[in-house]
Amino acid sequence: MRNDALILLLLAALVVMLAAALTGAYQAFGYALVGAIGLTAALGFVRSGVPASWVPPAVATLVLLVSFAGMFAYEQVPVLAPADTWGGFQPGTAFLVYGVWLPAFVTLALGFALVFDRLAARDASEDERGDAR
Amino acid sequence: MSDQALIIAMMALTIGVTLAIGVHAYFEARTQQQYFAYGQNLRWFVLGLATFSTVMSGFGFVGGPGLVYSLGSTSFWMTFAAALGIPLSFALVGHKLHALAGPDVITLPDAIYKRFGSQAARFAMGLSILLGIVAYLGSQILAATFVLEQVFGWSFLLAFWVALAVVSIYPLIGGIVAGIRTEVFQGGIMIVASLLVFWYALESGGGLAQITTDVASANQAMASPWGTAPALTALGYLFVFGLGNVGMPHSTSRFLMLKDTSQLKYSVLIATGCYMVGSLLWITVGLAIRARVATGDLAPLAAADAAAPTFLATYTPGWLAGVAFAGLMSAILSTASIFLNVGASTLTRDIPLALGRPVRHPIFWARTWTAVLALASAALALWSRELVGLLGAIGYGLHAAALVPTLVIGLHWSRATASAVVASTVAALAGSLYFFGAQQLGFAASRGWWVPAHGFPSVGLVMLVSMITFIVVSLLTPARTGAAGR
Repeated sequence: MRNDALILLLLAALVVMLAAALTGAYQAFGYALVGAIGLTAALGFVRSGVPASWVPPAVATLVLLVSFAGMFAYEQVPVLAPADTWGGFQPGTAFLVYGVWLPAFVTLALGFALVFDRLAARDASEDERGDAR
Repeated sequence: MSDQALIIAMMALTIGVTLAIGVHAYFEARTQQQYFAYGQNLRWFVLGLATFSTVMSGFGFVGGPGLVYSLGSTSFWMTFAAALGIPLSFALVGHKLHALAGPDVITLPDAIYKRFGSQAARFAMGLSILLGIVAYLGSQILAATFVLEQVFGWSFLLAFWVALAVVSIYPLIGGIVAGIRTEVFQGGIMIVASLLVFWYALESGGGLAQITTDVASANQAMASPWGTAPALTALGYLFVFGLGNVGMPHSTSRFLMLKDTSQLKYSVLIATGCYMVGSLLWITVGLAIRARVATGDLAPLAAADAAAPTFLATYTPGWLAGVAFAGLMSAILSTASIFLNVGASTLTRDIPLALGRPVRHPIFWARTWTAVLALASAALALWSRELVGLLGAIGYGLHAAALVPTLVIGLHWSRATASAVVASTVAALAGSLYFFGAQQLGFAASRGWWVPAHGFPSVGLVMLVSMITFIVVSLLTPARTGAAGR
């Protein structure tokens, strides 16, 4: 569990988030936050020698990136009639509901369940090697 | 049967079943492993539902809808964050903690000691868990008091003592066995309540698109993705309640209780899915009431927290109010009981072990500390309801800032050190205390203490600083790991 590169990237994302939070640069904060979530997800999911373990964190990060871009692009669109809503919400908020919230179940929760057996098998083989040493 | 009688009957049934499960669990909670760690035999369905029950506190039934009523979409970010945070906690710490678990590792500080081989790290973890719990428990007892006052029409003092008794008795006698089994029952009630109230909320306003349009007609910002708060507030909530969820000891410690790691596979779907269903009540009730106020059907509320009770009283049948109040009580009890158990384990086991003074008769002491913690929180609540409310607000933040660096980074990075655990915990405690003084006690206004501008939550700032501290201190100090850290 060296993960040096992931941790240094996470440090960089956290520093950007801190600077953005203190200066009010909310879009920079948002994108750095997506990076931090993706990197922490990678810490939990990714196992060396298991390519499928990259899929849930990579897809989750990509979906979050698109959703954040949508929120930033549509955050000020007014709603004057029901026809102005997307899926019942203001367009920017629709990116939050249907891009951040609902997909989290698919990308992370279902993703975890789908790759679980491969992660568990890898962990078990690592545990055995550790015991043998 | 009248509506009020139905509500009282459903509430009495909920409390009665909860106490009965607690008494039954008494006969199983005979050892520390059973009392604190469910005999390390926790299975997937129970893990999933119990995790949902613990994470969804009473705030989701009253405070959350109230915030949607007052701030609009800002509050969405709090509850949506858990949809990311719950699966992240399963992936980040599920297998890691189970791999560390064993007869001698039944609490989070035990696991940290095994990982880092440091009693100082164990002590720092135990202390931060304990302080966060004390800060939070009083607010849960007061919330239960509020529900009993509303339903039974009792005086504050009578409702308070009954709430204290219910909150503390069943975790005291049945330990975590009682806590987790009642959570399954309580989680079921919450799901039913949330789904039904969600349906009535949509009905009351003519569908989601019409509700959104009505809300926006009065204030466009309310319907926007950030709500009426600054964008950094909303984004900060995603950070604090998403990643911060991994640091919640009352839910994360479940992973030390698993029968085996395969229990994680499907329980993540139950926990995440159920929480998302619970969020439906949170987000729609506040919007529905705000829309009715915007159209002039309702007078503006005197207090935002009245949003959910007003909705139940005005737009739902009496029996549904009974289900919803039972769900609210369940949410409060499930969170409070697990906090009591985790607090008792810290006082009985973690801090004495860290100080080299293990206790004899641990179950006796666990029950004693459970009672002491409940009474101390109650005394604090009686002394100053306002102070308890303020302390409750920092309880979550303290856990998130103190535990996230160690659990998210420390369990996944061989370079992480015990010094980093201690340093990040100190940073979390100092930062939480500072902002408690600056914001809750008003020193920012009265004495000019610095607070972040642009609306970023101070809890998020403390979390950022403690995580950065953890990584930097790890890079600067030599590693000395425990048996599991190599």
